[in-house]
Amino acid sequence: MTRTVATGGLLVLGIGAALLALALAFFLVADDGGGRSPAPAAVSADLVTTTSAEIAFWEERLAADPADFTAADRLASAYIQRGRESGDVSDFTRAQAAVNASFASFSDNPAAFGLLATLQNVRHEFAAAIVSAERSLELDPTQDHLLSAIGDAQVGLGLYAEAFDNYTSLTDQAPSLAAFSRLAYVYELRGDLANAEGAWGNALSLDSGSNAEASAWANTQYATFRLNQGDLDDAATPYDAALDSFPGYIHALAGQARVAAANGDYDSAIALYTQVTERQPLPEYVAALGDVYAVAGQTAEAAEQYALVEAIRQLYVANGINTDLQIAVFLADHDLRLDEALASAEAVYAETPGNIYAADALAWALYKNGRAGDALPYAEEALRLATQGASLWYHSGLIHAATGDEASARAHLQTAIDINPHFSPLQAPIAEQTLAELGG
Amino acid sequence: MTSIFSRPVVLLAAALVAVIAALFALAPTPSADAHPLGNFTINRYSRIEAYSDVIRVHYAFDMAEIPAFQERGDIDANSDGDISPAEAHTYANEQADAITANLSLTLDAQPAELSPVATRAQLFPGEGGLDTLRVDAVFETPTPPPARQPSPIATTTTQTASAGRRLSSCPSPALPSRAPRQAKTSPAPSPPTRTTCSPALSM
Repeated sequence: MTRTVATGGLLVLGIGAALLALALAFFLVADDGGGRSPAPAAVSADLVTTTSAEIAFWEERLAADPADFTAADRLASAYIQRGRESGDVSDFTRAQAAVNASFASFSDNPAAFGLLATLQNVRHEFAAAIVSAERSLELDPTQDHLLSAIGDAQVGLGLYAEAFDNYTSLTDQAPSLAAFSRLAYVYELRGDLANAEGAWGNALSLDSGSNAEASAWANTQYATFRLNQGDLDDAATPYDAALDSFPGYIHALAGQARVAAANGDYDSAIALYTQVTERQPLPEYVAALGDVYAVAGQTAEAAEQYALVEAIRQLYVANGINTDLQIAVFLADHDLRLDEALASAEAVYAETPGNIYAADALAWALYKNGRAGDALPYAEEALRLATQGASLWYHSGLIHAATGDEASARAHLQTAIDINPHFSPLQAPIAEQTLAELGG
Repeated sequence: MTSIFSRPVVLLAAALVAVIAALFALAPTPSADAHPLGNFTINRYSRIEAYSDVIRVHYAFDMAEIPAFQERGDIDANSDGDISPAEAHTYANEQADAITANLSLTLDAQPAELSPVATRAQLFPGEGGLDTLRVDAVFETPTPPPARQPSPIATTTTQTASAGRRLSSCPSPALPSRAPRQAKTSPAPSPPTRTTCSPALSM
């Protein structure tokens, strides 16, 4: 097992599109074990209700005996689970209070350190998450699942090689859907799509089917992996599979919305995204709905969704969740408050200079602020792994064009379009148009 | 109109506080300002009081930060970013009308016509610099003449659709199917019925 402690940092667990990162964080959270009781046996349309009942149970136990640290651990775990299920981030603050209660009666509680690591990952306090997970393993070395928490924090910090080693250890020691899906993600970041595909195959073949939500998540992530390569048809099947195992699963519905938007079927995309955001107003989906409204010409509706993104962000910040990366990209994408976009991008880059999405956000924000020359080195840094992410190449292409390097601009814009011509309803047409103007 | 509010609304508020206290007394609250039932929730409350001369229905809904934020645009009629008392009043009356249209009260198997007699919309500071929204409405209908048989008046209310476009996913409030008839001299309200519903956001 290889573990590396990093110092100083923050960033995203980053699935390509920056705002999707938080959704991924929610998954990674719940998958970390940490004293959590088994997932509900039945596929419930209302997981939140089930988890709320669990919360009530452990609340009662803890109230009857405040020294019952196991009850506090279970309570924290249930709050984390509900926060992930409902998207209501105030549950993470409640979970932290339960972790604090656990420490109050048992200061060397390994489970509480594991839960703390999970919460720190959610808040994007990646360096602190590694310290907590290391401490937990020191107290109880049998917790293999903490390797994933450490790996997730390393991905956030941009320590991709270290994360790769940890995920590989995990797939060797305890092969599972969760382990292989993480490994697949790092392969994808490294631009190694063949191995990413192979790891996804392993992940899905290891799905026991016992946790419907985990199955749905894995199928959805695999579908998104295919979608990020522009394979609209190949993405449809795993999205359907996700909805078969977990009817109404919002992340799969959002994926179908993205496919509909890519096909130019804006009415269906709006209907699907609306359905999703009515149930869980996750900022990345609210923003995506706004984008579809925008390309469909419904600018007032788009503005309403963008305003909602910022309101939701206020709740994240109030609950201690760092959203600098997401807000920097969101503001820059929509030409909103570009000075604030740059300040947020600078902050996230200062915390996690190794993270390619931090470098990309800084490059994009500098470019939008008219500083293409300053943006260039960060755009190149964002491509240091040769990640096959269309938006990374698109940003770099526009930046090269603005600095007068038309050959590189053409090449990078063409790469973006070759990877995925539908990478963003708002940005992809700009890529096409710029390429045409450059004679590409 | 405002005099109606003086006592019942205090009772209403006290009852809601009791509900919240019962549900969350044990929960570690994130901060003093956070909505106790979650940032996405819309919670509703209703209660019937039967008096010698009038049947009164108290109805309230309470929107947490996110639905309240979405509702703001509708309240802020002149789009100046502020909610004036007049705008809040207009909004509360609109909501009362919407509730009236969808609320039905049956007394001794006869439909009774409920009329709004008092309304109020209030914003409260919530989490993250956002507001929460609370709307109260009181409806009345005259108590029918004594029934032919000595049984109590049977009251049922149903809500065919919720007030406000964003409340549609909440179940209808549970209301007591029977409210004991009050003696003329002591108009004590019937026990409150509490309804909460979460997360019931629709935008």
